Amino acid sequence: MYKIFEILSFTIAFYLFLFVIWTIFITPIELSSNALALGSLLFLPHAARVLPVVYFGPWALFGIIIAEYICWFYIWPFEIFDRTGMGVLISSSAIAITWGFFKLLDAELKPFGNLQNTNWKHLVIFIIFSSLFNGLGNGAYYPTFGDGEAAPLISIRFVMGDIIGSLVVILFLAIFRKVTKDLT
Amino acid sequence: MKFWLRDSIIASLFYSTTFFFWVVFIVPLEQDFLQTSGSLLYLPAAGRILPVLFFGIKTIPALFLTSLIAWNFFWPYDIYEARNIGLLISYLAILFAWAVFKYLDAEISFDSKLKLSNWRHLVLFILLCSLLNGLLDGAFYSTDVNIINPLISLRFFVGDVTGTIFILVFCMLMVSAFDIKRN
Repeated sequence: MYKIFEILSFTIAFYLFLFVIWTIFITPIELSSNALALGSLLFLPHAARVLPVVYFGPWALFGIIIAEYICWFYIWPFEIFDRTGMGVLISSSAIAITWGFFKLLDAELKPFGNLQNTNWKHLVIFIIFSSLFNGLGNGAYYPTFGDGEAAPLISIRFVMGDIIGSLVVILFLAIFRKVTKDLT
Repeated sequence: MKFWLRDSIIASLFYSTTFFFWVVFIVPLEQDFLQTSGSLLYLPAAGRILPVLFFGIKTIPALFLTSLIAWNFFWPYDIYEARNIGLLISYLAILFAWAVFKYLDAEISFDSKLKLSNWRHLVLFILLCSLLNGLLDGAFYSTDVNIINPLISLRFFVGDVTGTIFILVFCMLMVSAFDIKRN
């Protein structure tokens, strides 16, 4: 029980942190063009969806859903676009589907599995798959049920934003780990 | 007495630094969308939580005094004002969180069960402090300004967590970069 509480706490804190960093530092730059309405090209919080599930397991999904609802319904300060509850659910489901997909193929990411979560190449494969599912799901949902017009670009921008955002965060974490490895 | 004075001065300087960094770099960025319900990256939260973790609760009087000076004399914007009681509540939240950890025999120090050198334990303390501060200050400000805004609690919580983690990460990078040794 304590472990689950710990996983949920860290997942929520990590998502909140990346969401706020993205909102304060990345979004204002992207706001200069209206293209942000179709999705950010550097969506850092996607890393907070992928990494907790890869490292903590499927319990982190609950933390991701809670954090997504908090951020998108109560923290997101701009009016350029609104995320719906279903959109949030699709994003979280994309991670769950990817995780299930990898598990089904016996390619679950573990420290000593076929695909290792300590190998950045394997991690990138997970990110690409989850971004694709997220982009396809949300790209299909928003033009159909959202207020905006049908925009096929949504899918590709969601995929690109998720992949680039996650890679930037992983790169930062890798550098951070290297730099601070002597700290005990 | 000598160590108390030294630690208090360092803690006050640390708080002042985070406060001025926040005022100069973060508030202008947030001004376009900053609501009166609180900053989303409140760096001074680190200025009050981290010194208590590393130096102990003896630094709280100095930190409280520094907060009073900073908010009453150096806050340059009209977006919102911090009430002195609100500041006091923030420090009571830290004291309460510290007492909870102590009561559970889970005090955070370098040699105890929950260690200062373990990021997970640090994050747990930060989360508890922020949660208490959000709840208590949210309740206070909602009644004080006569606008019931449940978002205050949430935004205080998010701002404190992200601000503290931001400064913690920054400090870790600095300590590693300059190879500072603990003695």
